[in-house]
Amino acid sequence: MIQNILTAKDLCKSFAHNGGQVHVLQHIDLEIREKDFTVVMGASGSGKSTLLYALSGMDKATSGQVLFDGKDLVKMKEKELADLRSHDFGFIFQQMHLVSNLTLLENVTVPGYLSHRKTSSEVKKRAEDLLAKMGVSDVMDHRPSQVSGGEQQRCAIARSIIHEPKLLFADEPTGALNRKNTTEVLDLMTDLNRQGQSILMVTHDLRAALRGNRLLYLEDGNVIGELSLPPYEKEEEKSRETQVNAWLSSMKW
Amino acid sequence: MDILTLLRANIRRKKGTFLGIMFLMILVSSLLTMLFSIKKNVTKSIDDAFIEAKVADVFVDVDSRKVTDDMLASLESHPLVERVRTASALLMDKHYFKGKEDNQSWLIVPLNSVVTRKFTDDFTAYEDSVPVPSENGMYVPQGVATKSGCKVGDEIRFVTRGGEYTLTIEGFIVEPICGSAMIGWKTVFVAPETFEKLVAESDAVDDDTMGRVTVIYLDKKADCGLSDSAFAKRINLDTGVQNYAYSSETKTQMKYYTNLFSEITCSVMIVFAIILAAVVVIIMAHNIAVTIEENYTELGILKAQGFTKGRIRLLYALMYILAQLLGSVIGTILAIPLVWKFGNIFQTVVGIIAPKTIDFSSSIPVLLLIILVSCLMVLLATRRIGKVSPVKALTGERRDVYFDSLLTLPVSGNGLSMSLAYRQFSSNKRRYFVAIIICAVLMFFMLTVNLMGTSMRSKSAMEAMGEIFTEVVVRPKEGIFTEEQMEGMDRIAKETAEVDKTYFYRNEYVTIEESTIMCSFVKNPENIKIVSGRAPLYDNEIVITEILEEELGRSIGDKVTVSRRDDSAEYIITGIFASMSDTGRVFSMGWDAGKKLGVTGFAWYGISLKDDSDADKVGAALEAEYGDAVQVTVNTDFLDEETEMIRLAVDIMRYMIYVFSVIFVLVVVSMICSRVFAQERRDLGIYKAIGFTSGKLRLLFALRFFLVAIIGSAIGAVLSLLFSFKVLNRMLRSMGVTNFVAPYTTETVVIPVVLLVAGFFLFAYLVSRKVKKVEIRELVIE
Repeated sequence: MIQNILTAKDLCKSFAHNGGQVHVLQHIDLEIREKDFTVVMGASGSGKSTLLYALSGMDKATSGQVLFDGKDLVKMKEKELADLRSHDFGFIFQQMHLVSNLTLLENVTVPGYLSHRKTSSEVKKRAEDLLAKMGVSDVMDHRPSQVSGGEQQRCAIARSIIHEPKLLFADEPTGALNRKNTTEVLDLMTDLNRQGQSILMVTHDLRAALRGNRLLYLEDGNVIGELSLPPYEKEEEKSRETQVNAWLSSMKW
Repeated sequence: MDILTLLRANIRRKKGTFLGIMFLMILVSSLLTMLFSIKKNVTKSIDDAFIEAKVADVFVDVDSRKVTDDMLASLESHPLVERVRTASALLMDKHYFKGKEDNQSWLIVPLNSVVTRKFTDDFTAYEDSVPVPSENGMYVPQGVATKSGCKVGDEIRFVTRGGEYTLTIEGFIVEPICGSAMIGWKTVFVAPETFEKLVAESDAVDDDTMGRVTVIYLDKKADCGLSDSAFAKRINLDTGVQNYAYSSETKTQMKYYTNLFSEITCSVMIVFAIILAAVVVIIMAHNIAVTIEENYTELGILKAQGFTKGRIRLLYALMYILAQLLGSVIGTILAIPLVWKFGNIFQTVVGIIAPKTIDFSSSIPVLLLIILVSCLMVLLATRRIGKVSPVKALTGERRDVYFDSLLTLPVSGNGLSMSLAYRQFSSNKRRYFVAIIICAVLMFFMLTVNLMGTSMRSKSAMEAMGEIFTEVVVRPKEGIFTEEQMEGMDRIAKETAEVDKTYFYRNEYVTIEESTIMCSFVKNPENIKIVSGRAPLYDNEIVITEILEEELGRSIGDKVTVSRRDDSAEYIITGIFASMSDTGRVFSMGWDAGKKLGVTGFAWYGISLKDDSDADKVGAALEAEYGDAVQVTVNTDFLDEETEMIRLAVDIMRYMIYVFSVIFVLVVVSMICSRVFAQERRDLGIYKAIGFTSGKLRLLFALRFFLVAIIGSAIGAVLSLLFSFKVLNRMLRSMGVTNFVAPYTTETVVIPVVLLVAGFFLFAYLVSRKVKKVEIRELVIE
């Protein structure tokens, strides 16, 4: 039976602006299911990134609840949130955000060491395996500035899963990549999902959205549409694209 | 106008740097102005007191029995002498205060016109007049109060040739010649009637000991053209007067001794303030380099808009120089209350109230020089602006980041924080370079000043520098020891306890190469601390100090003529020895050599014990056997009052340097941390995103500065090992130190290391509290 991994209840987020309040998220109720590849889409300014921050605990919601393992992220202290990030959540950013003075391998091992789930040598071994799997083992001793954007993003993916998180958050992971690198990164994420990794991705890239099995559409801070798809298969990409395009059109995208 | 607009914007944006530089300059300028003012005021107060007391250029103390009319006539007729004055004084052999004996020779004189200032009881002002003391009263200089802690109403018991007397201290007066606490011998003043009575009783005794002293004051002619010491030398060459003197000094010498302590203290602190100024300049240059790096794109934009390299450099120069100027002005103003508060910090040593005027004449040129050097540094540091290419800057093209693989260690899961902190440090060494230099400089200075203090706590170090410490001192009640007494006392001491060394000696001023210098006649010349050459073992040999070697222009192997009263002999210099007596102007010879100058015996016997707890036992044994003929004094405190006072002053100096160093560390760490924080804000967000807490990130910050402090301290310690002793020899040469020795004790090293390391660590942790404000969402592009 598929279980919810993350639940948002009556989630609101407002910002002060020009002496007034801008309500970016408005009373959102949402469940993120285990092993799903959930994709959040929406026009610019629809609040999709804000939703990602609120759901991942990167930013505090103004009101409402975000429940993970029965605990409300909104009420968590900094230490609890840090524990959550080092144990249960993983992040992939649009700009990769690797630490420039660490090698690719070290960028991956550091969060592994921090989680204290494995011994140092086990973490290192897993990091090397992951980087090999991502196809960047030959440059793992290089600094981020010495490798391409695609290699950096693959390293960032390895970093995000080194501690075997329960949920992986991805914010426009292909936004800064060229077409070839985009495909490679999406293939990697799809593989991860096939292996049981729960993913919540925010994107406005149709090709990225096709990889999800559950698509949510956000407008003016509300989830206004949802599309369920079978797991992604490359051979069915064309028909999947048509289906998603039709859905997006109905959302007036 | 465009420059001013940009300047205002720059200051607003780099408020922290601007305020930091300004604050450091406030510290430097207030310290410098205060020190220069105090230094000048003390010197002026001494000069004024000498003028007011009409102190002669040269004064010679001669046993009154040796003063002849011919001697005075030859002095009066000398073509370089303007005036000869004489005054009668009575020699105080020793004195006791609260039961404690002091063997320093004091002179008793009748109150005369030399004394024009009498302190109020709290030493904060002068009385309107100086009344004659009562029949049983006396006036003493403030230096006596400083050394012994006596106050008005206390009694001093003393011994003259005429007998033992007790007089009451009725007040403290300014006695410019030897009133300083730095000078051992003193002049005390009594009522003329009291003096007459004491002299009469002294003259009534018929023995060989010295009772009455005639002080001969010699003033040189206005057109003499010679320095005081050259004048004294010339007079002695022509008249031989100093051969009969038991002491002879010049006005310049006495001013020098009086001012010595404040001069050295102020000079050390001024050097420290200048080092702090250098630190400010280094910080500034480093900040400029980092700012250029940070503002690369903006610089490109300015260039693209038509700003020339010169105008941009001017912009930088204006900002930093403005901060320095403002800091200098505020600091100089702040120095006014500081001088009011601390202006008389040296009064207890000098014995004269100093004026509290502010001296801008020295501080302003130094501050302007600092600002000028800063301008040059700005010009040097901004050279790179010329290389900024607008195109590269605007397109974001930057040079590659260089990582030094030699110093890179792998990030390890064990000790993750430390290995990450090390990586952050090693991959951006340039960023911390300035902090390392500052830490090294502060460490070097703290260690150097600490060594000064440590040497004064270490008996062996003081001995190595030429001081002689003896737990038991024996003096004959009359005249000199007989040979039987000398042999007997030595035997008893060695039978009673384990003796380290014994010394029979006699210090006397004699003439060497026409200069009056103290000679230490010793029975066992093999005990002299020889620095080079060998001890004077034969009757035609002497050893001299390095300072005397320089003054006389004679060295090992040279022959010199030494005269004492009617005797004269030629000696060969066999070695250089260490001694701080008479600020290093001293030489020494054995007994056999002394016999050639008529030295018939010794008046001092000192015993240095291996275990000072045996001192009372040895003292009692000597007292039991020779108590009728000798005076035995036991003292296991190896520091005398003068050295104790210097030690205290060095300690105060150390604490001041600690405080200033810590303040500097705080400001430097804040400034560097702010920069690092701005540069690493993105990394901090990344670390937070992967599960680091703010506390852990602050720890990483603090650990980095911990490493900086450890490296800086190590460099400072190496510099200290290489240069501290040389610097101290240079600094303390005026006190007679030419062979500085001090052990690196745990306290010497640990306090500066702990201060710097803990300071850097804690301040970095505190300053990095801004880490809390870094949000992970800053990493996300909307």
